[in-house]
Amino acid sequence: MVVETAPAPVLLRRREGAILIATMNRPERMNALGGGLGEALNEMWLDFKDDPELRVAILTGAGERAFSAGADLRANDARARQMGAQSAQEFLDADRARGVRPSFNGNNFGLWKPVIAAINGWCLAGGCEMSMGCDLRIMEEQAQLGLPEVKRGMGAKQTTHKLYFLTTLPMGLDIDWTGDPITAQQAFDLGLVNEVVPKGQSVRRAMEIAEQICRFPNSYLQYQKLRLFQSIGVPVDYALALEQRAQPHQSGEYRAGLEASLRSRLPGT
Amino acid sequence: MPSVTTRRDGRVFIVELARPAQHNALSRGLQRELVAAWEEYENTDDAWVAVLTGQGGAFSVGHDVQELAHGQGEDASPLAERGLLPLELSKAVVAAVEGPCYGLGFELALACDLRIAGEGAMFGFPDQNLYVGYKVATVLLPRMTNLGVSLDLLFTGKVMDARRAEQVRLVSELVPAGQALARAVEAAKGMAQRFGSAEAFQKRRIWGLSGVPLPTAQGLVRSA
Repeated sequence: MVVETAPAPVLLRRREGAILIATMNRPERMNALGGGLGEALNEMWLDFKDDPELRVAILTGAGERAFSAGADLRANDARARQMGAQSAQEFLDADRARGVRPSFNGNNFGLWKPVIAAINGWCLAGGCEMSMGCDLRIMEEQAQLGLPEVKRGMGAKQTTHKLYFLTTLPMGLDIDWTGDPITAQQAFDLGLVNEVVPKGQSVRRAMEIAEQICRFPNSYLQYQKLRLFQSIGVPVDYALALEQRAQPHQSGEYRAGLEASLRSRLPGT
Repeated sequence: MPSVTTRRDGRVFIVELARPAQHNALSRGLQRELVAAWEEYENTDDAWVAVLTGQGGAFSVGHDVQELAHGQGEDASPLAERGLLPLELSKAVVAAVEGPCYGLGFELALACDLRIAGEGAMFGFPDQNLYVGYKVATVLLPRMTNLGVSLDLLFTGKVMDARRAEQVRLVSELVPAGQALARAVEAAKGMAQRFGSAEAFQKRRIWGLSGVPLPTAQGLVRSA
């Protein structure tokens, strides 16, 4: 039996005020989700959700090479052999039967706090799926992103729907069916990533954005995110009718905000 | 002085937001006049396409914050309560956008069928002190662009320039600064000429299919 040892924590957590910076720390394995990293991420997202002092999270990868390469195929392979699994599908089905749920998506946990992916290098397969589960994506110019599962006879099942919501139907199919990675610039042009930054700058820029997000009250951000997600895939007339019936956003900050708003000046005015 | 003006150019019905000194902030009075203008357009049989624009180099900065701050808690936006009217009309509306297009003004532009923007146009929700809740943008944004871009605009208060807005499909056509209205009127005339009636645009039918599961949509189209 292969025993994986982890001398350093596979997931580093750092707090800067209301911001959590989570660094996947298996650089020698391109931050693949083995060695307990998936489980550590699950636990971390739950902690983040329940921590009233944390408002925004940033997810990134250690080292210069990768954000994350997704599932640790070497570790999976060893386990599949041990199980006698004939195919990748059989292996995945066995995982599902055991109730193992990869931590692909903060939204899995009913998480309405903003999460930013700082994509610092290769962002592949399950790693790409995780980045797409985040709300915003900041990508370094040298990084590439893709879903190579198809090249290994697998499908990126957790993600096909996300690609559709994050790009367009034909581009989603293109990325999913070819398995070819795309560059940061291509991802930006598609609207799949929000900003492209120079090498080594993704976390710094994500911090700036997180601070900007924190200028809005939590309740307001959560209200907007909930409204956005609840209207997706709903016929437009029905979605608008639901919105009309929804409670208006009410928060203690509204009145004080108006006073501040009177003093502020908007760009171009 | 009216805060909305309307005029005709052939089959085209032009609506202008006319509070240039306030960057066309959408006061309740303006919103009521705008609703009346849309009703006039809808009931004018030989007007087939409308163009909506703002006077004075801005489309609209959104809510009239002065009014909200000094008001007695009246309804923030009668227009939003009506689902933002251009969307509910049976006939087409083209937005011609220059300069700031923010907040409720951005929602108004999103509720139009096409957006033609001058290169200096700026889109977003940049007032990070105004917590009104953009319930119409949360429905319309992800249909025009994608989820990630929608979240970016709503969460960060970022202002998006016209070029990027075109790239992410929030703007249908980009023109040199100052040309949006002229181009929108030209496009509207072309549409009127090609379609030959207001009904031929099938506006409600196209909008009505948005968000409907594909097999259902195909069934609806077949049975129409």
